Amino acid sequence: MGFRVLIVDDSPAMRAVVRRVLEMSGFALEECFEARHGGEALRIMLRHRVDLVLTDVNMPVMNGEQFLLRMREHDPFSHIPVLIVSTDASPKRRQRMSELGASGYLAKPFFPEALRTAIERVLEEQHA
Amino acid sequence: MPDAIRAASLLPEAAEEVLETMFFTSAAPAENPRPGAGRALAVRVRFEGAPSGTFGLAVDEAQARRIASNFLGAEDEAALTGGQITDVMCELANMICGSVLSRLEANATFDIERPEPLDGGEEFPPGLDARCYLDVDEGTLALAIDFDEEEP
Repeated sequence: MGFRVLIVDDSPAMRAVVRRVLEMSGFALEECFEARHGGEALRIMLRHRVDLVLTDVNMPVMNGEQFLLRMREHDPFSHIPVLIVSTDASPKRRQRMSELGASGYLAKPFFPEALRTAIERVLEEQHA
Repeated sequence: MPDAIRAASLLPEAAEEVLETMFFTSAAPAENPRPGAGRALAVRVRFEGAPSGTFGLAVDEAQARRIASNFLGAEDEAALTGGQITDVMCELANMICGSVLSRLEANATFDIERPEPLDGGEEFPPGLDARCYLDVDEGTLALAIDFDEEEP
């Protein structure tokens, strides 16, 4: 059985690129959902099973930090791995997101291989 | 307030890395900037943190279309809509801005607001002083960054 990914980013172009990398990386994707911000992502997660979340940090309505906090506080979502994909490469931001329960962090810009490797690492840790 | 000249000196390396890594577009500092003959597409991004300020970029529409096509992996460059091209330019601005700020203040965090396309076919983002030009494919990419004045 494949896994179900949710891409959260306010840029349609960025969502399209991440989706394309996922499709070309050979992952067994069962479904790929997209959301423009954390609030929209939570609504999708209430209706659909999601196995992995890839989220930006700086977004309108509900940013990545608020979204991750809500996920970790909400029992059905608290175990779902979250990979942060952000332009903010600062150690402070990485530490903050890690403290909030992020499973991994990938700074933009990134090579497609780096996204694949980061996802593999997150999924391996999830199943360890 | 950080040194605007130092920030401007970081623009080329940050932009080159972003363009080559995710936009599959080679870039190099322009010795003789040659702004495109066509209408320019300009984007501005506000960032809040320590420091706060504004980043901007401008590129002619034909070059913007090529960059967008590379980023999206489009089979037919001509089929891209204006909205798609603008969205890619916004993402390009977002990434270059984040990359410059990370180089400038490695231990600071920033909130980068949603990039805003500018109307009016500006050849350069208006009101921004610390600027540089890059040769990209057949055009010129103009970049600028400015920091807010600190409150006394």
